[in-house]
Amino acid sequence: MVTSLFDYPESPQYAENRYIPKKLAEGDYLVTIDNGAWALLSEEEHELLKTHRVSENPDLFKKLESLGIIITQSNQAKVVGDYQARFSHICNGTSLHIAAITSRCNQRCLYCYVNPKPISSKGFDMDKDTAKRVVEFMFQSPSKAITIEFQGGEPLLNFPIIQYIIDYSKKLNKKYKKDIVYTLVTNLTLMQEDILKYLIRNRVGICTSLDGPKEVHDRNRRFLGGHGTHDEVVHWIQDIKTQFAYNVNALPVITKFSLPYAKEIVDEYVNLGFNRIRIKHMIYCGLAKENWNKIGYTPEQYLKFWKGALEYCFKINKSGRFFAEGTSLLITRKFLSRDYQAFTCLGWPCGAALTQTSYDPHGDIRSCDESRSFEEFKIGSVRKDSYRNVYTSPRVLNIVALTSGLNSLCDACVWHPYCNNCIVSSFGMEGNPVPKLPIDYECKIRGGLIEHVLRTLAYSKEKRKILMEWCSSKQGI
Amino acid sequence: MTDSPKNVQYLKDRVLFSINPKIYPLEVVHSAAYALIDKAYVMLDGDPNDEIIAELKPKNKGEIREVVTKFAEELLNYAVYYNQSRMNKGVREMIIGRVFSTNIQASETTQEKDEKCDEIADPLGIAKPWTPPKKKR
Repeated sequence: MVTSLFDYPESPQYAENRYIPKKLAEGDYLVTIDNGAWALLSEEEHELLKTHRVSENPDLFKKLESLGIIITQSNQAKVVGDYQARFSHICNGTSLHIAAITSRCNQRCLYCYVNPKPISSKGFDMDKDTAKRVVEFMFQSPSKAITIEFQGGEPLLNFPIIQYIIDYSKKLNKKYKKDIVYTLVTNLTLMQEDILKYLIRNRVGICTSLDGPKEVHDRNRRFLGGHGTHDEVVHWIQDIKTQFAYNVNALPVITKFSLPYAKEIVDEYVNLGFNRIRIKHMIYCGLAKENWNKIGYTPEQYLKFWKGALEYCFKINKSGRFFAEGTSLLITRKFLSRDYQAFTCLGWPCGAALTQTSYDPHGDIRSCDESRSFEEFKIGSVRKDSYRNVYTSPRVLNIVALTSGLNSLCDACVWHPYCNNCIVSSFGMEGNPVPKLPIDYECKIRGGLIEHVLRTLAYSKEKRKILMEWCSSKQGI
Repeated sequence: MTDSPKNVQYLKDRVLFSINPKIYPLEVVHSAAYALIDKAYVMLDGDPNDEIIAELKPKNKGEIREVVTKFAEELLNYAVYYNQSRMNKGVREMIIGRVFSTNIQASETTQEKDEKCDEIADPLGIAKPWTPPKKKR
């Protein structure tokens, strides 16, 4: 006689893959597996799955077999292929190389995740010798694709080193023949026409921050002297787009000041001719940590804001204008594609010390760009370490193990296949890279974002269509 | 508290929850206690071979019953999780073993994007769903 769930005999026709269930609504159960495949099951279907009686329903059997939620003789190779596609980043080597070529900045933005140095400071710029070693280190990565991203401080304060890194990497690449992409993350306020022409000539992607309309942006992003930077940023965005017909990307970081302005922030992007916005929450480190009492919010407050902005984006699309929200687009892709989505956060393991690395002006190597304000995430130095030494070191392996979530209860979460814990955020909040998940800021935000997208995909036909349109466009995230 | 289960003892501002380790092993108790840290202070005591005592003190006054219910739910939740994990361990290891022992289908030209800079268009055109269409109920 069957006495408990676990006394049901296992089916001889299949084995269950490791799955995590969650009741989404009355009669609807979401089931996810490690590689991101998922199914929404009815009460009856869920009952059959958990009591090992899937064979009684041939349609369900076929569905779960095609997704790899159950394993049979005939789908083993496909399931292995699906896992390989999803976790290809584990074996590809580091492709995103972030060169923080100066720690100096002409701004003091309230939420900066590093601790920028005043513009007159000495000894905080990368010199030529360090830059040379950084480039040589980058080329040791086995990755065929290399993105070199220039960061600061404000990187335009050390423009000659940008030129040097581009020149030297092009020279080295005659031998290595990698696919190189250059990007510059700049506040735009030090942009000049001759610099811009150089960037365009060398196909350097330009990314900037625009936090919304003037009244929001200027509260968050100010010059060292205290006045806002909105006018300069908008001037250059318009100039680059219209005068130079070149692409520039921007994203808003949300602070407490931004919360009442969801619609206005989206409108600012629409009015400037962007066709997407990726809304970004703050990370609890650097100046953001220092200013948290003034600018911080709870995960619930942020999620309410983001959902409002997303709804407004849906409304714009319903009126016939294509305008995508990047975070929901990325998460949708994670739900709908079997492939790895090349975005360094929201993956398990995440990109820290795996697909991305960051170099400070002195050549110290950090696990990721966000970790730059913590010595604890230093994983080596281009002055004394080889790529192989760094990426096989116990410190790096520990970081990757931590972000995999396999040694925490992340592994028991239905959203784990689309998510990860952020060790930098946990370290900033708690002084410990191991997150206390039930109270973890990032966990609550990420879980909330992912659940909202899944519910939208599952329960709103109209919005699902819009999300699918965003996915099928050639837009970046 | 006449309707309390016999393994739950309510005190003034806390509750003692007695757990039979033959029903809920220590790993399950640890996980359930951990899941509660946003709602309660949890202190574990007792003998893992005989009786485990969880002392639960709600962080917010008036939530003592909610904390007890939540703890009971989490015990069951993690009992199922660990049972399920044990049952699927072989399958999971088989998949991962084969993933790493055969050629990785890596997309070598994938350019990683990060939080600040993500201008690169999606070259894969991946909006093709890989889940089969859902049947009308």
